[in-house]
Amino acid sequence: MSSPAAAETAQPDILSVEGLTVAFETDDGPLTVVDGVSFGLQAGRTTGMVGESGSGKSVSALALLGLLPPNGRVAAGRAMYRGADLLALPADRLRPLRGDRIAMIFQEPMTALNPVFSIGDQIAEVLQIHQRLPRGEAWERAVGMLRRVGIPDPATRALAYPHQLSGGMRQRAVIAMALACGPDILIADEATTALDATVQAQILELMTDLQRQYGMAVLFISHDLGVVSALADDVVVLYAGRVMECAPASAFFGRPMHPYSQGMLETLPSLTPPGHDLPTIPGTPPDLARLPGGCRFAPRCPRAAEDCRAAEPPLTETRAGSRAACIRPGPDWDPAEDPT
Amino acid sequence: MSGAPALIEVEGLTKRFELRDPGLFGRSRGAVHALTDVDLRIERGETLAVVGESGCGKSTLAKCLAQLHAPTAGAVRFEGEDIFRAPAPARKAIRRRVQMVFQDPFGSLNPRMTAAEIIAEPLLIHRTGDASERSRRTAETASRVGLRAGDLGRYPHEFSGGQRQRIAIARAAILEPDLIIADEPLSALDVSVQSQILNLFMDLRRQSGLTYVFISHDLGAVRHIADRIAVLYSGRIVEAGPAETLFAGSRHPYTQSLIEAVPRPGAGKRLQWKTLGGDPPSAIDPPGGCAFHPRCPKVQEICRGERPRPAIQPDSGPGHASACHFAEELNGT
Ligand SMILES: Nc1ncnc2c1ncn2[C@@H]1O[C@H](COP(=O)(O)OP(=O)(O)OP(=O)(O)O)[C@@H](O)[C@H]1O
Ligand SMILES: Nc1ncnc2c1ncn2[C@@H]1O[C@H](COP(=O)(O)OP(=O)(O)OP(=O)(O)O)[C@@H](O)[C@H]1O
Ligand code: SF4
Ligand code: SF4
Ligand SMILES: [Mg+2]
Ligand SMILES: [Mg+2]
Repeated sequence: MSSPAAAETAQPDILSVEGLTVAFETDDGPLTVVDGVSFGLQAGRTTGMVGESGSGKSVSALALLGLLPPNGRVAAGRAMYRGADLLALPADRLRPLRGDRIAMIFQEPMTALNPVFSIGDQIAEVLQIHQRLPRGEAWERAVGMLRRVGIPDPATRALAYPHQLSGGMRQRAVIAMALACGPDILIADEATTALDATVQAQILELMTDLQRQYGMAVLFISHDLGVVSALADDVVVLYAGRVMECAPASAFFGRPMHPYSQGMLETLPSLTPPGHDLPTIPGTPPDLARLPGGCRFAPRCPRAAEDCRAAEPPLTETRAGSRAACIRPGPDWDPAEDPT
Repeated sequence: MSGAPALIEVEGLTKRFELRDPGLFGRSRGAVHALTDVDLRIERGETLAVVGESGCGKSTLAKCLAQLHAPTAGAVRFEGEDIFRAPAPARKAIRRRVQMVFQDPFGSLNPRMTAAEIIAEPLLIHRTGDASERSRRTAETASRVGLRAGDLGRYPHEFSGGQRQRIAIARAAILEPDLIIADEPLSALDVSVQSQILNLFMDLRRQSGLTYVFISHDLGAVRHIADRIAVLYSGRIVEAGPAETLFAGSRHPYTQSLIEAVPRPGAGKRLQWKTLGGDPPSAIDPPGGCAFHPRCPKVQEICRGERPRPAIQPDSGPGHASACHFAEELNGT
């Protein structure tokens, strides 16, 4: 294994997303919910994608896999994977990649499971289709995957239908299905948020193992900053469909540059003594149909001034490897405590 | 404690799911022991958190309280009335007063109804108010959970995961029930929305004396809202007591491991929270003796053969019970 520093500089992107823009047709006309999002994924590394509810995390992921709902479309952007633009690929060339080379764990497990087939059948089927395994071997592998995601009595549980499993077991069945083929890229949308800490650690270890074994690249979408800090190499912060900050995880958690990132880190429940109301970032995300002019975070930003409302700040390098979309970036940290 | 009946009293609640191969005469493959011999008292106005790992029986307990599962054995009493032996009209009346927020917010929302229709539906089912009253209450409840009025005409798939959870919460709150059972209401929400929703739950309680059963796999997440905590392991309650008592001086090794497992954000990478080793127990063939014994760091010979009964810890806070042979010796974490 090369040193982390070398990996940070030398790694080419296995997936490179540039300017991804997604619009939905709504009753009030077109609505842009993902607006010029760019980031890269590298083999063997994990990128954490964070942001408030409705910030466009799931829509970004669905767009990459060609799974937008009928009223949504990619309005601009590229997503380069092995020389092909996923966003421009015809459905019949994208379909064989999905679930095989590029796997996704969906936010709602029930949407990925068929209620009338046992979970063993569903995982085995993926292996039969993509890896061309014979039925018996596919079934054995499916049971093995269920064991690896920590489901007790996997041989019996493989026969269960989705409704016969607990919520966390269903989630793990979906994870087992996504990992079964050893994908190049895993997009995990809130994959472990429904799981308790022990199972979660087990899944994250499994993901890390597969990453080491096959060099899988992971886009880990989560609102759980504790888990992201434990897992991610890099962090992308979305706000109202735009990237606010994009930085190595250690820089992001140590000294976030964007006022929104700082606000997010301050709302962590573990920092509040019990019995007190939990701090929230004041205000709510903007209505995407009526965005404020200039910086879209301005209405909630403690540092906002007149010049913030003039134009949308572009993502600009704030220090090596980090970019923030803010004209007054900088950590609000006490210089006396700064280790550097 | 007064002689008045608790809002909910659960006694000896047991739920097993028979495992059968498909078909009318399918072969039996044993049973899932989802809940075994659960006793629980929920007082009016309090918030009880039920915590435990995946598969330990939390949702099954919730569904028994909401009359969505009939228990295999035992009783659930609502203000003293045994709900599974009560006549149908009484059961329906109780059902109205007990509302549930489901674990899977997507699966539980009808995709063909708008947000406004979903939120208002309980009013229709229970024939409450006229059309204008219903739309007023819908708008009011929606705004309390932070949904924009202009979005209420949209369908569930047009909302993000967190927004859908708000719809589910509004739907549960609109009838102003006595008890809301919220099954993992926070795990689909991001941190800032989590705080807003927790604050909202606390406001609703301050205003109308609501009682909550809060189900969560995350002990840290319920610390802010729970008055009491019941810890489930392998379908049984292994420890129960006031929240602060449990955090300050848990008397059960499983609870102690949960307290240590609360992840904390830090600057470094890689898994840095302590988790329990070993495998979760089989629900089809649960371990004998103390169900926790295969994973317990404090295990002794007696634990393998003899099941510890929940015992009140008189020298600890009031109402603190632990089912561990060595509870008295486990002072604090
Ligand atoms: N089919 C659709 N039609 C119209 N708007 C939609 C549709 N699907 C999603 N949206 C909107 O797009 C925005 C982004 O949604 P998305 O699901 O990506 O959020 P998210 O960041 O994943 O949030 P969460 O953390 O709650 O899952 C939201 O405002 C949502 O309401
Ligand atoms: N309808 C059913 N048929 C068969 N088994 C069931 C059914 N519902 C639940 N079970 C089983 O009962 C046990 C307890 O499930 P339950 O859903 O109560 O767990 P939980 O504590 O809510 O877990 P999670 O945190 O994963 O949601 C599990 O082993 C589950 O597979
Ligand atoms: S550009 Fe201005 S309003 Fe926007 S985040 Fe920076 S300081 Fe705040
Ligand atoms: S009874 Fe024994 S095995 Fe069970 S929790 Fe106590 S010490 Fe551990
Ligand atoms: Mg989402
Ligand atoms: Mg559950």
